[in-house]
Amino acid sequence: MAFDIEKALQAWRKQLQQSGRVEPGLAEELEANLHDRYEEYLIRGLAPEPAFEAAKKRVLPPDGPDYRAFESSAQSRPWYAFWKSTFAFILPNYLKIASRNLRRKGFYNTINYVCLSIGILTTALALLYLDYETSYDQFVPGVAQKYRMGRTFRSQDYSVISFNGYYGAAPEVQMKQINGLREVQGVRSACHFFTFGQPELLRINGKELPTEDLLHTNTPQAFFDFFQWPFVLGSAEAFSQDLNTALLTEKQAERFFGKDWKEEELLGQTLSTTEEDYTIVGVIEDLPPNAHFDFSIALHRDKIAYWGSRTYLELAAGVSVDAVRQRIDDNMGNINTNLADSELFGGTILQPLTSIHLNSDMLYELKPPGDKRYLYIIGVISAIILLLTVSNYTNLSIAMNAGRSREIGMRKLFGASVGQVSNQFLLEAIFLSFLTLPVVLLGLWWLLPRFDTFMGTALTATVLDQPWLLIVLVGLSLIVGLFSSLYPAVFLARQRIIHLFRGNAARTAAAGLSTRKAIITFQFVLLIGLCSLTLLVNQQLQFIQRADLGFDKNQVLYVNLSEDSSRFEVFRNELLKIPEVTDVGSGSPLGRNPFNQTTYKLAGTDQVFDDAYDISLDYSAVDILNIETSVPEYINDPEQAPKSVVLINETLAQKLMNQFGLSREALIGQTIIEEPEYTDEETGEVGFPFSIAGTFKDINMFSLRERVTPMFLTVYKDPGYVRWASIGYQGLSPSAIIEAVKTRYEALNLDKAFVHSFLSQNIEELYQKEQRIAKLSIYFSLTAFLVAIIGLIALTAFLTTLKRKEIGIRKILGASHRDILLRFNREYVLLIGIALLVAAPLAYLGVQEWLSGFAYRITVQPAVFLLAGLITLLVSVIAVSFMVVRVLQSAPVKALREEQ
Amino acid sequence: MATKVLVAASTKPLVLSILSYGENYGYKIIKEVERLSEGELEWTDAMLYPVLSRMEKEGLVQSQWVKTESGRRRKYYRITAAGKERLEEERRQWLNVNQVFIKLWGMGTEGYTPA
Amino acid sequence: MSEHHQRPPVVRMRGVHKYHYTDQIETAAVHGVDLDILPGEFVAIMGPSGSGKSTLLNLMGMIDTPSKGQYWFNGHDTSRQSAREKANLRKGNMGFIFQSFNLIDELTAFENIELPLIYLKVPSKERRERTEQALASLDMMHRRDHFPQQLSGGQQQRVAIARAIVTEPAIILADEPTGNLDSENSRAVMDKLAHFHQQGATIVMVTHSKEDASHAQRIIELFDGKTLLSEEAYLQNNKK
Repeated sequence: MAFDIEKALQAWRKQLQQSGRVEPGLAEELEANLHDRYEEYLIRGLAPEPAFEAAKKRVLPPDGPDYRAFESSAQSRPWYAFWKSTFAFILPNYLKIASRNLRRKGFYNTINYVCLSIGILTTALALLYLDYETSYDQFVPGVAQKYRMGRTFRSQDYSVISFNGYYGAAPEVQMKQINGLREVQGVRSACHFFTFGQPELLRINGKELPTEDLLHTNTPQAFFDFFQWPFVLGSAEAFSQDLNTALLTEKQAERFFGKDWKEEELLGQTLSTTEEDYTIVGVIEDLPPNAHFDFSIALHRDKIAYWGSRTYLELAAGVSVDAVRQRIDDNMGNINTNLADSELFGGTILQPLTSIHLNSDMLYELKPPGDKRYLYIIGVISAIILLLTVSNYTNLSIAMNAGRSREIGMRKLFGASVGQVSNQFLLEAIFLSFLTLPVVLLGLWWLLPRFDTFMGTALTATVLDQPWLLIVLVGLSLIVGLFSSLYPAVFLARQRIIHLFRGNAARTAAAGLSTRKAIITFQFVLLIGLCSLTLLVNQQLQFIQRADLGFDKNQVLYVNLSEDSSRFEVFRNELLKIPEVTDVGSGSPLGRNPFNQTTYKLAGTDQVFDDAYDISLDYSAVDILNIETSVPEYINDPEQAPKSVVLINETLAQKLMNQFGLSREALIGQTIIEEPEYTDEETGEVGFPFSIAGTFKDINMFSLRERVTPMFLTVYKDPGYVRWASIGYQGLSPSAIIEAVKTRYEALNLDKAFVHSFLSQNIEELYQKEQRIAKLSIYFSLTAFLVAIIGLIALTAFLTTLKRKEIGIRKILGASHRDILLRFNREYVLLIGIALLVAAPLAYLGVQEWLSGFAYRITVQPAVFLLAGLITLLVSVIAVSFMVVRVLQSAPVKALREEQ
Repeated sequence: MATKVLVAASTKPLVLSILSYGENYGYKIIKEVERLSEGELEWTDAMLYPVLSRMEKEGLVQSQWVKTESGRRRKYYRITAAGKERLEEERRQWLNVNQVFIKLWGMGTEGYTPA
Repeated sequence: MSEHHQRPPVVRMRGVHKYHYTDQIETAAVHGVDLDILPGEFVAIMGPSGSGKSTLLNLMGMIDTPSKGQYWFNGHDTSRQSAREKANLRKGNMGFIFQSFNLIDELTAFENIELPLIYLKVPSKERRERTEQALASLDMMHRRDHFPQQLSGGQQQRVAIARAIVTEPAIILADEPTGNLDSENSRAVMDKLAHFHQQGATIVMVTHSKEDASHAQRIIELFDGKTLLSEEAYLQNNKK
């Protein structure tokens, strides 16, 4: 059989590949060599097969990887190789050209600079905000193993664990609860506390000041072991050793002892509440703003003076959270018999500490929880601004650098590769974007405190002096610079040399036309989307403000009384002497966050519901709030009214009528049993029965995010105890009514802080997040428009200079200004039309997602998108026309004489 | 046969020297070295090619694939300006060493006398 | 190794065609050119407008690729080379001179001339020496820090020539170097080119001007993309 050299080579190649001895690029070369050697042996007279074998041995000896010995002794690429690369050689030249270009094309570069600064600034701000919002409680050591306990009760989740016996739980009962938890397998430690938002009058160092956010705990050591708040003075041991000890935060220490509190003999001093005395044993640092709760002064007491506590658990490493939760439920009998026995108890919840801020949807949250949707919104809007910035740069730089085709051509002739040419443009963009850093830093320094006040964050305190901020900014500007210039760099570098020397700038600029149109359309999409989003968000807010809540929210002032009815009577009579005060009532305040619901059933039926809210108001309060009831005669003349009546809201009335097929007349007078699961041990009575005296029109006690659910309203004549007095007034300014009420309040000598709030203000606060986001979206939209319009103006300016000659000729040929303006604007009208079609559905989906968070909301009208499109069109037309008119006003001859 | 260390040290200057006479391909380079050293220096192909590719990366030589009339492909190497510079430097160093040996082994006119 | 092997022609073209496609019409700008240019030659390419002079020059400069035929530059078959390889081959081996100068506006005269040396990674000290030498050889030292806009046409072209010769290229390609210049400046430019030729430079120049062409040793006449007889005769003569 004849020897086939090709086949032999093929086999050899395969073998070589499999052995992995040689890199692929070399294999080809070796093969060529093998062939040569083979031919050499043939000439020497060997037969083909032995010749090939011999050649094989010579090319790659089977035993000796002797080239590897060579490899190791040969130099490897030295660390300073970069300095010998072409890039290092050409870098100074790039920088020189970049800086000269900056000066020469000052106008356009200033615009790019401004836009880049704005883009980087907003992105930085958004990044900082997102980082802040997701950083809650991350500072707690070993946070991964730390959880907060919650519970499900009826259909609601609670962030407060009730005590066995509620308010009445003895200290031992409270401790039994914690100790019971500590015994559960998998729980390493447990602590609990409660913080009180209401201000309390404290006396320290001869000063008496109302102080909010007092913390009660009877597990002091565990509490500090868990959170590890750093001490400035004293220690956790001193705090836990004795009962009735107190810790101050630095802020409180300064408040009571002055700026030089560190000089004072602060330890051992007495802190007096209205009831008890405590010994101050230490000062801790103020809590970080991104903790999920805050307190001012911690008090070590034998008993937490509340019906429940906030309970925290540290789990052993590696245990299953769900298993622990299950064991807690199983052992609930040893922890809280009340809960264990209750048919309403739906189980324990273990919530990772870090997910409280953004993911908690429980009742009685410690701080207003964050909302992930707002993080998305801010993220998306800042991304839009960044995209606008980047596309602006891209657009302008394609147009502007079109005039540099000659330079690129020459560089390519000198042997610059495509990569080197693109590198140059990337470098120029990055250079410019680095130059924005001082402005961005200055901007942040100015903006952050304002942003903090506005959004309720503490970015200034947490990031402004952090060294990583600079790293983030440098990284950000690097990325922005890179992205901005990617397209122009590749676009320009890819041009073939022969084209680069032909034609003029105008023609090359026109070459990028379709891309530029696409980019402008894209910008319009963003603008229309953002604009319609802003319009819709603000529309919903207006809707909220104008919505009929079912009661009058204006001119009602709440004042904290917390006294019995006789004191209330005195206060009321005093207030009624103020001519502008229309009436004074008592009862549950409105405009609040959801609280616990209650179970109920219609007497004579079996079905138990658990979705009712139970509130009470006196006749005067119903009158002040102007709630519409089916018993106006009682409201108008409480003297003739029964001592108390229970009304149900329209929602509940409808529900019961539908459920049991009752007429309205038949429903009135029926008995409702509240909390039917409760049986009085002495009398054997089941639940708390009452008869339905009438109905009232639905009121939105909470925000419009919440749907109105069934509600009982107990209207009474004489309150037993009054927490909040509600004062209706007319014709006084807010400050005047506060002043007038405060004088009367202080005359009562109640020994407590005067706490007040307007109903309208309470309601407004319910929408704080929405208000913020609405305003923020306006700011952001304006910024976006600013960036886009600056870009459009610059682009038009550039294009009109290129078309000066064309404009001049048209003018000479008799075209009116109107014709020319139309010509220039026409193209944008079409682009905006296309953009509208793309943007509208996107914005619609986005806004629907946001609106779905509201039980009561606007319906989205298509007209809004048209309006957004019109606004965008108008702004663009003004910008474009402004630039064109400037050219038009110059004499045509001058334009003609210009060399393009 | 030369030692490995010597082979390692001399390969680069030898390749550069050969290429300074004009473009050439691997097999021919090996043959040329063999011929000039009268068989003393026997390079293996597997040793030479990594060296050539590294020299190319260092910018000392440039290469290109060329199709011969017979249809076979060969990679030709050419010395670059940087390569010439390097060769000059190497030449100086080798000549220095050579000078020393000549003196030490008394082959020159000024013989070496130990101090 | 023979010291005296024949130096290959700088340019060797065989059967080179170049077609342009516009509006579905195929036009041959270069139509089967065979051409050798030896080291040290000064060749002028002449012919009426549209005869393919500039296209031929672009092909020589590897700015454009032939549609058909083979082109060896300095012994390298350019048809086998990637763009990067061509860029490397061009680097330092070709000097270009254009009718419209093509100086970079943002760079001074000195910096324009220095640029090709940067791409050749010449160390900065040597770069300065060579650039200054090139400036001096074109009597432009006094304008070294001027930007192109501050120079007259003749001065700009002299800077461009300095930029073309500073790398000591294997060939200088000049596309109507005097096309934008008045007669006095034209003469000065041509004198310089002739001077560099005498010092050994290989030059190919496209020109309309008989006077300019008179500096060349050899004139290639192009007509409808083909060389006229003179070139064939030349090739015959050079055949070994």
